[in-house]
Amino acid sequence: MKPVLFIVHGMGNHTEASFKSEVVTSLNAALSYYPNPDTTNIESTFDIVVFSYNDIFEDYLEKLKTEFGDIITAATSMPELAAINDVVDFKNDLQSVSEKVLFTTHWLDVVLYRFTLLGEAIRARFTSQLSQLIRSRGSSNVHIIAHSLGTAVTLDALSILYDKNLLIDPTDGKLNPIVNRLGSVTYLANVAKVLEGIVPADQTVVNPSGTGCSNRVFNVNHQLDPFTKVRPYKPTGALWAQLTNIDNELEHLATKFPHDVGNYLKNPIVNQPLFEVYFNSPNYNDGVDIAQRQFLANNKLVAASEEVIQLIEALKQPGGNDWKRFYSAFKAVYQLIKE
Amino acid sequence: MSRWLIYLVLLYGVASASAQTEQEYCDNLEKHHQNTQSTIHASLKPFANEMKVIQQNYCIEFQTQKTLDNADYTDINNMLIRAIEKQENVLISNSDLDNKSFNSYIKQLKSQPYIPPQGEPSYFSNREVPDGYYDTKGAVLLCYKNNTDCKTFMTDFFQLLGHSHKLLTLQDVDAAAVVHTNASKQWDQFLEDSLVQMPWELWLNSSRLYSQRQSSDNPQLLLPPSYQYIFLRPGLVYDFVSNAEDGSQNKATLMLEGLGVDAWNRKQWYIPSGISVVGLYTDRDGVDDLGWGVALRFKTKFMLGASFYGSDDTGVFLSVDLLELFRDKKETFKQYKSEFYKARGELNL
Repeated sequence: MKPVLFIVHGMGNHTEASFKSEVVTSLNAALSYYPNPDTTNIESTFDIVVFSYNDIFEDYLEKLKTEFGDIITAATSMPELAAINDVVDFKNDLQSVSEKVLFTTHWLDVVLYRFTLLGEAIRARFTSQLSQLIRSRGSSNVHIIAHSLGTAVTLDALSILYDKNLLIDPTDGKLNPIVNRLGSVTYLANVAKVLEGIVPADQTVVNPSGTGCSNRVFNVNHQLDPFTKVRPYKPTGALWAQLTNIDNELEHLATKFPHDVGNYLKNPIVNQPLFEVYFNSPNYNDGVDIAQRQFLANNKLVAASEEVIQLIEALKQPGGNDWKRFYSAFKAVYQLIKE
Repeated sequence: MSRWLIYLVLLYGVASASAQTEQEYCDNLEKHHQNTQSTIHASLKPFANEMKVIQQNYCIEFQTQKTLDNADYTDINNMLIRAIEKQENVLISNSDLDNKSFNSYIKQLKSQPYIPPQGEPSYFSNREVPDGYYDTKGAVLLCYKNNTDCKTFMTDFFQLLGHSHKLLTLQDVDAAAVVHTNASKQWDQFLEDSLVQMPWELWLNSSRLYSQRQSSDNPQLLLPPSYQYIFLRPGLVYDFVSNAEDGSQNKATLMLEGLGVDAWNRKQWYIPSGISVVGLYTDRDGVDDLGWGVALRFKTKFMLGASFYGSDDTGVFLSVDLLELFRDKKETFKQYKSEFYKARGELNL
């Protein structure tokens, strides 16, 4: 049975195709850095299934804008309502502000997910798709990679799908985590703690313990990613002894924005433990040093950010004052980001 | 070695059955057991008998639609572990397990009663271990790297247990897939058919929905609400007030639904899906500009209401679904409007 990577996008305007392309390109590039990869085409070994939910936000906003806009348009076009035209003259300003500040930014996705019933519609779609995948592939053949807002969606939806009390009652639609354990769950840029609401993030069944719903759970947060700094996801206790945290050592930039999914997946610090699980092979541990060098050599931005990181470390030392060199290195990184 | 060959016979019988449909499998179960029981080696019989009970149990459930409860599940899992315990000699003599590691393995199964299917040797990077074939947790060495017979035996053993396990979980996973797929369809229907909610309405209705969640520790999926509250919702209606001066009787009127409710999935068009108390505004000669009304909504789209202006003036208003009107029927509407004003001009009203 071909295993499946179930990938969950974050906030922003993602389509199934664009997110899949971003993840596949990053993983293939990452595989090519290793001396003996099982494949350099992730799709030859895994089926990539995208969980897409951006359309739910877009449809709502489009309907809202259409409805609101139509009322205003109709009202202003009626001679009988001329007296109220003054009242609705603000429509252009309002629409402009709405489009620039609210409707097209990432944050509205977060608000709509966390505080409205659209979130439950998204979770229903998630649990529906995942339960069908588990049925057809077997739970251990399903690996999840979630990014950004997708980490909160994944944690919430899995908490709903699996029964923390380990009961089996087919009428409630819940799965027993012990007998339906997933291959792995990976959080990239985890914001689940920021958006905590459906379930306490440190008590969820989505943990790697003997009673959790996943064999492995990877919690990956980049040092320069601002979204993960608000309320870091750091669960503690017996359930989390096997949690794999990757954060302190993750500081290189492979893309211009630290939050990008590609910035996470291309880095061997992140992909080496993932590939070990996905391919069940020692090749990635053995080849991680070579992969790291290839990663540096193939990404100008990574190499430039390496110098900045080293200079920051030097500045932290007593007597460290080479600000001129730091500024020069920072300018080089900035130029690359602009390019 | 002959024992695992016999074991393969048993495995073949079950594995080939798995390619059939549940109905065929269960129909042929008795025959299948008659054939396999006669060839099973004595040392495997206790295990095979338990397998038979599990398979029969599954078929009884399949044929009677009886559902597994938690006690059934625990019993069956315990039975599988007991079966493995009974096969200690068979397992040890065909694998690289010794008594100590076997006991360790049983202990682990009891602490986590899941028998994982094993495809290939596992790899564990964080500690030095002999090359070989491990259980899923990496805690117990089942076979050394070069012991091919052992690996074959253990792989087959786990396949058989995996098949039993699949029977155990099939019903659970099937039911979950059905429940969640139906829920997702209901949500899609809700998003498609319900009134588009203004942000403040969305907040109100979401708060009401989430207050129904009984447990935050082990949350359930919530279904879409069967009705939605309407709150400060703007709209346009055509209002006919007979007491107004000629030419002002039939006018487009701005409406604000103060408070209302609508059942979005009402099937019968002739039974109102909702009711609202509304405020009305229009610039009309001979009648107050501001009024109020009560409106009934049909099929979540169309509104019919009574309006009241001042103490004596009453009217009747009608709305069409503005979303549909302006999206799909914009041209028709423009034409209607043009004809309306043209006729009014010609009649000098």
